[in-house]
Amino acid sequence: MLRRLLFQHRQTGTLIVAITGAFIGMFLLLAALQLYSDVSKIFGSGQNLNGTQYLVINKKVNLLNTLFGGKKGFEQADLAALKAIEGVQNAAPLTTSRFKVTVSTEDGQQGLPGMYSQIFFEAVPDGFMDVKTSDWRWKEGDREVPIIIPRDYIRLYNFGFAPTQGLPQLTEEVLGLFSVNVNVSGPKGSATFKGRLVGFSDRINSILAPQGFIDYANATYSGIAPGSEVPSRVIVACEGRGMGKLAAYFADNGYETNAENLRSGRLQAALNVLMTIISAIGILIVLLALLSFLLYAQLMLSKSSWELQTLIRIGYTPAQLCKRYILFYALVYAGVLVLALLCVWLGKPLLGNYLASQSPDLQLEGGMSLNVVLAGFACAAVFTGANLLAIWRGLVKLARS
Amino acid sequence: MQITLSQVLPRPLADSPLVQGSVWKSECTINSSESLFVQAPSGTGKTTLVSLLYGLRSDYEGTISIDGTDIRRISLNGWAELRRLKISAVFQDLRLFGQLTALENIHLKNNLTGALTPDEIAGMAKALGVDHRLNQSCGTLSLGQQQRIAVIRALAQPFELLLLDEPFSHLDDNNAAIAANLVTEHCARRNAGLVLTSLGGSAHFSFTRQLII
Repeated sequence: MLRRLLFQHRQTGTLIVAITGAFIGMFLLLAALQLYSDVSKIFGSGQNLNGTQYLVINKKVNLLNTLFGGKKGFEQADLAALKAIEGVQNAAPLTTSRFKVTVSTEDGQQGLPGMYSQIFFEAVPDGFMDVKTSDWRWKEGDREVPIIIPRDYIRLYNFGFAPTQGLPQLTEEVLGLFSVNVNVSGPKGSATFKGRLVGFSDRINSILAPQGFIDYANATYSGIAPGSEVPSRVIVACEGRGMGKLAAYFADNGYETNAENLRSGRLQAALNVLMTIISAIGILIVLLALLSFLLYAQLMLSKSSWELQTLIRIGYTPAQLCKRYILFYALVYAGVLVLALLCVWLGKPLLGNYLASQSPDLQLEGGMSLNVVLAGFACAAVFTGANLLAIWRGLVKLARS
Repeated sequence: MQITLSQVLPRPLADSPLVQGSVWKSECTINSSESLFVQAPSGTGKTTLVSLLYGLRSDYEGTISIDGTDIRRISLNGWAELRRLKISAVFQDLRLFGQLTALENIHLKNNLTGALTPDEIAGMAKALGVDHRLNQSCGTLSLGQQQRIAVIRALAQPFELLLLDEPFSHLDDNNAAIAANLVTEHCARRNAGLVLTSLGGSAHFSFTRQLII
């Protein structure tokens, strides 16, 4: 009875258009969010699509600067220019060891075969490290030097070197238990330290020792004060969306880096832009749908103003009437939300199958991301809230007139 | 319940030559223990008075208080409560929903208050001679029949004061007498007061006071 009075002026056509708009907008928005989280997973290591990428760069080595000693290091101005590029979060020089380093193990000790190798060390500021360990520190007087090597090295050893030499394969945990002799020598002296592996890096393709150790050893054994040398390698931290510009800058200036990282970075940047556009379109459509719902509600109120005023006159409270209306809209929005979520949920395996048929690498894992569901609910809640406010204000205005 | 009007003047009447009465621009008190007959020529604000007492207008000067509370300070919920429990009204334009049946119109109010049983509604309709019209949509009823439905709706709630604005203008003498009896009976049962406006005579009711606007 009351419902018949309140909804007698409903216009099914307008309502269907508004509902369709809300559905399309919400579906696009949720699908873009879902895709974003899925694609981020494909890129791996838990980083999101716009996550920070780390690149180690150097200037191209060519015949000219080999023969004539052209500038092959990064000046302060080069660093400043890098940092000024949009999306670049930080850039810092890698410090190279300017002394000779050899590592050795004594035969039979700790169950290891006798080995000897010449190596080098580099250091990066702590902020760029992907290995977080409390062991990563060195101060003057310490005999033990923590070392981080690229994870690739273990793979090379385990699957390349060890099988051909009849040596056992080693795990990261086992490697961390051994220590090696680190012999350091330069024009001004030499010393022996104990080296211990404290971690493995996916990010930095170099053998790392703490900055403090390298500064100390450079000064002590080679007489080179910290910061007096022009660095030849620089590590750059850059947001995913800045990768495109960065790559162009590298090409213009003759900087070299790991091409694979750069390519995936540019792909991420492109995908990121695409996702942003889809999300923006989704949000735009959602907002338009919301607007049409608000107008629709206003139309219903003004067409039913005589009825509403009369109901208020015979003792109905605006809240009672508002409840009837908002219940209807909340149900509509809940329906739209469920439908949009269902479509994303059903659509994902379809897209997953298609992607998998294109390339076995592209696997969409798991079901719907929790964030997508939450975003959907938030969207429906905002709709309901906005409508509640509009209807309430309309009713109060009617009641007071 | 006591309603006081202190120096009240509706703005639309501000420019018209005032009929020197006891309501506008004066001190006037209405008690729920009395039956008032408001008599005045048309255009002097009878319906305006009912609207003011029922809280439908705010375009007036002066102060109207219900039990000491300035009605300008009564909230929307406060008015809803007053209209469900203390003040009831039959409007001159009736305000029935044409698209609903007569019975549905009555239920719309009775559902809020639970004042009448289905039997009581049927009994009142029978007394007023509209029992065979209850399931007919209100829009198709004659004005006289609609007036009687509006009276039943107004009685479907507890009240301390009943406002009747030209309630029987489309009823013949006989039916007006029956309706007046029903109203009087319900007012007596609820110990409630009455304010009636009418162009015509005040027959069928006995009044304790006559208010000249």
